[in-house]
Amino acid sequence: MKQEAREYLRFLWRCFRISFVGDWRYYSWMLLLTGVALLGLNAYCHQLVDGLAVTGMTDQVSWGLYIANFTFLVGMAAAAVMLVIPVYIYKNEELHDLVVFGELLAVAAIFMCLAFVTVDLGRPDRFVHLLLRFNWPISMLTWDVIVLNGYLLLNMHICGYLIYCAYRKRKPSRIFYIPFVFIAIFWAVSIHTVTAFLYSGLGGRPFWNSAVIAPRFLASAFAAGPAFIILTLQIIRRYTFYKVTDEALKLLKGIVTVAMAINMFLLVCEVFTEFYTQSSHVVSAQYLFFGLHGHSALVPWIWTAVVLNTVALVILLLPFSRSLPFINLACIMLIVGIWIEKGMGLIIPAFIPSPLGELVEYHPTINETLVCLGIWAFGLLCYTIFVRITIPVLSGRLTYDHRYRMEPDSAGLPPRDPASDSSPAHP
Amino acid sequence: MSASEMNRRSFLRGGVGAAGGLAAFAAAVSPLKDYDPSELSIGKFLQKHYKEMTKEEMEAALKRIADDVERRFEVRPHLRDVKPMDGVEFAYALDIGRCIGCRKCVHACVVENNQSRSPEIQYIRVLEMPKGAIDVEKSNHYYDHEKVPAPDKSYMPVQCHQCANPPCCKVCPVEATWKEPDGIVVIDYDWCIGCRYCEAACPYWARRFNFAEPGIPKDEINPDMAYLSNRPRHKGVMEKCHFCLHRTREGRMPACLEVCPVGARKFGNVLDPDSEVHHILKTKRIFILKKDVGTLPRFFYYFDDGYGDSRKGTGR
Amino acid sequence: MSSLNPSPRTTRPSPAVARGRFTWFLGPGFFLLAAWFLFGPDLAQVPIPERLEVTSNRISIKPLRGIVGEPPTIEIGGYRKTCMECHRIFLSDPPKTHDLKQHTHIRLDHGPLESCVDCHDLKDRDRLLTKEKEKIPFTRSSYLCAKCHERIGEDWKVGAHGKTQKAWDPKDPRMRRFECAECHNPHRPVEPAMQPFIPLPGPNTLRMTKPHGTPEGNHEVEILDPLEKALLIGEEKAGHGAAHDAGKPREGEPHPGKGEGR
Repeated sequence: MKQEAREYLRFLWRCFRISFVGDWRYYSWMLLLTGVALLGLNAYCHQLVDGLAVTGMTDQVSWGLYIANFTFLVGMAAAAVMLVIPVYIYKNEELHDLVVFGELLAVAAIFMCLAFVTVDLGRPDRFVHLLLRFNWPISMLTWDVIVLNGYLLLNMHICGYLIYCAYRKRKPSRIFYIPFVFIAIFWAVSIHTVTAFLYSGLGGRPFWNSAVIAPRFLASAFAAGPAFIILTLQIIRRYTFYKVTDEALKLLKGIVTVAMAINMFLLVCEVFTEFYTQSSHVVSAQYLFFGLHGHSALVPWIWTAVVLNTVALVILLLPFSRSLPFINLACIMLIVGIWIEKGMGLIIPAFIPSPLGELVEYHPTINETLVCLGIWAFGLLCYTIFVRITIPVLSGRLTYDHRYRMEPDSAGLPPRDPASDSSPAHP
Repeated sequence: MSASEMNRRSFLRGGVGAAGGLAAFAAAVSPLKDYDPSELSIGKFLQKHYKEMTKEEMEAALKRIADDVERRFEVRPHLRDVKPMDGVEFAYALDIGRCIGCRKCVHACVVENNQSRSPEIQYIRVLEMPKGAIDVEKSNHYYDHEKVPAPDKSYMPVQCHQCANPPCCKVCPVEATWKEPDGIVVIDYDWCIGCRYCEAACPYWARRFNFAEPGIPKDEINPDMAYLSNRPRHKGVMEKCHFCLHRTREGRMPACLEVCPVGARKFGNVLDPDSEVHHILKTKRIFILKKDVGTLPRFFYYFDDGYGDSRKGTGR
Repeated sequence: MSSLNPSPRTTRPSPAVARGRFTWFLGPGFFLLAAWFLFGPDLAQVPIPERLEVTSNRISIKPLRGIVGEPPTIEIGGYRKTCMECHRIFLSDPPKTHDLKQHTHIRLDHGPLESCVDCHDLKDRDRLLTKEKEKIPFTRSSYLCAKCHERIGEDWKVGAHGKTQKAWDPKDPRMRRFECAECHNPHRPVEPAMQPFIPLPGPNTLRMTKPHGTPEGNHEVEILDPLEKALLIGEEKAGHGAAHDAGKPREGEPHPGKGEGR
C-alpha cells in the first residue's frame, strides 16, 4: 500500500516534470498562455478590488460575457460524451484511444466553467455559504453546482485511472471505470440540460422561457465539442508521434454534421415561433436579429453566427469536405458561430429590453474581456499539459519502469523519426 | 561546452524563468493590496445565516455591523433586528390614476434606505406611459419634463412586488433571500454571494446589485437601521425594496408613502378588515402587473374611478 | 492521407542546443509582463455617473397646503394671530358676494356655495359650522366637507381617498389622516389640488446617463395599433382631452382612472 502510494506520488512528480519539457513551439505556446492567464488574473484582481463595476454589466443586463462563456463551455464539457458513446455503446475501435482526449477536454472545460462562475460572483469570498446553506433542490443553480462538480470528478477519475493504468502497464479493471463511463454519459446530458433549465425556468424572461432551449443547448454542444476535439486531434497528429486515424476524424465529422443540422433546425423552430406569432414576447428576438428603436449592438454578431453556422454546415454536408483541411475550416467556423449564438446570442438578448421595457445595451469592457481571455488561456494551458502528459503515457514512452528521460536528447516533443512513430520507444 | 557547464547554464535559465514567473505572478496580483481588509474579518466570515443565529450571535453581529457603520460613516446607528408582527400580512396598493410621476417616492426611498448615491441605486422606477395603455414596452423611464404630469401621460411606479410566490427566492442558491411571515421578501446582505440569479429571475426588475462600493455622504446616513432592511451594504451584494420593514414592523408607514404628495400610495395589513388596503382590494378595480407570470404579488395597482361620479352625484 | 503527416525535417539542431536556445526568453518575458502589470495603464476603469442631488426639502412629508392648526392662525404684519384675536373686535359681517375687503387673496369659487358663512361660524371664527348648525373645529374640517361630498367622505374615512401618515394600523393612535383642506383649497376646489410639479431627477444608474431612445417615437413605421392611432389622431385634431377619451376603450385592459382633482 505504502509502495503504491509512493509510486503514485512519483507518477505525479513525473507528470509535473514532463509538462516542462518540449520544443520551442511548446514553450512559446505555454508562455503565451501563461502570459494571457496572468493578464486575466491581474484584471480579476482589479475586479475584486473595485467590484463588478469594472465590467460592462449593469442592473439591466446583469449577466454578460462571463455567463455566456460559461454556457458555451458547459457544452464543450458535455461533448466528451460524443466520443464515449460510439466507443462504449457501439464498440467503435477507431475512437477507442481517443476517448481520453475528449474526457480531458471535459475536465479542462469544467475548470473554465467553474472559473467563469467564480469571476461572475460579487462575493467570491462567501463561496463557503454554498456548503452551509444549500438551497437544493429548489434552486437550479445548486443543481448546476452538483452536476458540474460531479461531472468533473467522474471525468477526472476515468482519465486518471486509464492514464495511471497505462503508466503502470496494467490492464484497466473494467469494474473501476466502465460503470463510471456509463454514468458519465447520462451525466454529460444532465450538465447541459440543467444549465439550460437555469435559463428556461425563469418566467420573467420570455426569451429564455422556452422548452426548446435544452435541446438546442445539447445539439449545439454536440456540434461544438466534437469540432474542438477534431481540431485538437489534427494538432496532435501533426506535431506528435501519436497516431490518429482518418476514420476517427471522419466519424467525429459525422457527429458534428448531424448535431449541427439538428441545432440549425431547432434554431429555425425557435425563430419561426417567435416571429410568426408576433406576440409581445418577440421584442428580445427582434432586438437580437434586427435591432430595436435604433439599438442594434447584437445584430452584426448574430448574423455573423448565422452565416458561419450555415456555411460550416454546407461545407460539412458537401462531398468535398471529405478533405481534412475543409473539415478544419468548417470546425473553426462552427465553434466561433456557436460561441456567438450561445453567448452573445442567447444570454445577453434575454436582458434587452429589461422587464420594465428599458433598452440598455451591453458592451463588454477591456477588463472583462481580459478576464475571459485569461480563463480561456488557463483552460487551454490545463488542456495542453493534460495532452502533453497523456501522449507519452498512452503510447508507452512514459511508464513506471521506463523513466521518460527529461534530458535534452528526448526532450523535444516531436521526435520526427518515422521509426519512433511505429514502435514505441522501449530501450 | 562541457556537461557541467551546460547544466549550470540550463539551471540559470530555469532559475531566471522561475523568478520571472514568480515576479509576474506577484505583479499580477498586486492590485489586491488595495482590498479593504475589513471585508475579510473573522467575525464576518464566521457569521451564520440570519435564520440560524441565536439571540447572542445576533447581538454580536449587530454590534459588529454597527461598529462597521461607525467606522465608515462616523455615525453610531440605532441598529436592531425587527421581527415580523403576529397576524400581520402587508400589502401595498397604488392608485395609478392619481400618480403624477414626481419621483418623490424614488428619492425619499434613497434617503431612507441608505442607498448608494454614486453609483446611484434606486429601488423605485417610475414609468411614464401613454395614457390608456399599461404597456411597459412603451414606457419611458427617463422623462424629463418641466412639469409633471405631462398631458396624455400616465405614470406607474414599480418597485419590489413582494410576491407570495417569489421567483427570486426560488432561484437563490444559498437562500440569502426569503419570504418572511408578514410577506416581505428580505435579503441577508451578509449571506448573499452576488450571483445575480435573482436579478435575472425577477419579472419586475426590482432587484439592484452593488456593482461598486456604495458611495453615501457621511451626513446623509439614516441612522435608524435594521439588519434586514436599510443598514449600509457593501459591494457585491443584492438589495431591493423591503417595504421599509424597520418602519412598518414598528407600525409606521413606508417612506415612499409618507412622501407621496397626492396620496396615491396605500399600505397596511391585508388581514385587518379595517385597514385601508383591505378596503381598496375589496372595493376598487385592481390591476396586477404581469399577472401571467404567476408570482402573486402583494403590490397592487388600482383605479379609483368612483371618484368623479361621486363628485358629480353629490354636493351640488 | 500521407500529405497530412509532415515529412520529418532533415536538418535539425540537436535537441540540447535547441532547448538552450528556445528557453532563454521565458525569464525576461515574465519580467516584462510584471513590469506591464506594475507600470502599465490601468484598464479597469470604474464609471462613476454624475450624482443627482436632491435636497431634503424637496422630499418633505408635509401636506401640500400645510397643516391646519387648532385654532387656525393667519399671519398679519409679521405676527401670527388666531381668527378671534381680530374678530373679537371686528365683528364684520362677511358679505354675501364674493368680493371681500379683507382676506382679498381668498376667492370663493366652490360650486353652489356663495358666502363665507356657508361654512364658517359667524360668531366663533375659530370654528366651522355645518348646515345643521353643528360647530366643529378646523382640525375636523373633513367632517364638514363630507356633508356634501358623501362618497368621497366615505372613501376618505376608510383611507381609500386622501393620505394617511405615521401608522398603517387604524387602531394605532399615531395614525393621522390628512384633512381635505390640507391638500385641497376649500375656497377654490375647481382649481386642481395638484398644480403641476417639477419632477425630481430621473434614474442615473451605472453606465446610464441620458434617455436611451424614446420608445414611442419612430413614427415612420406604419402604426398598426388602433390604440396608438387613436391617440395620434386625437392629438392632431382636438388636443389632449379627445386623445384621452379615444384611448379609453381597450378591451381586456383596464385603463387608469381619470385622476381628477389635480
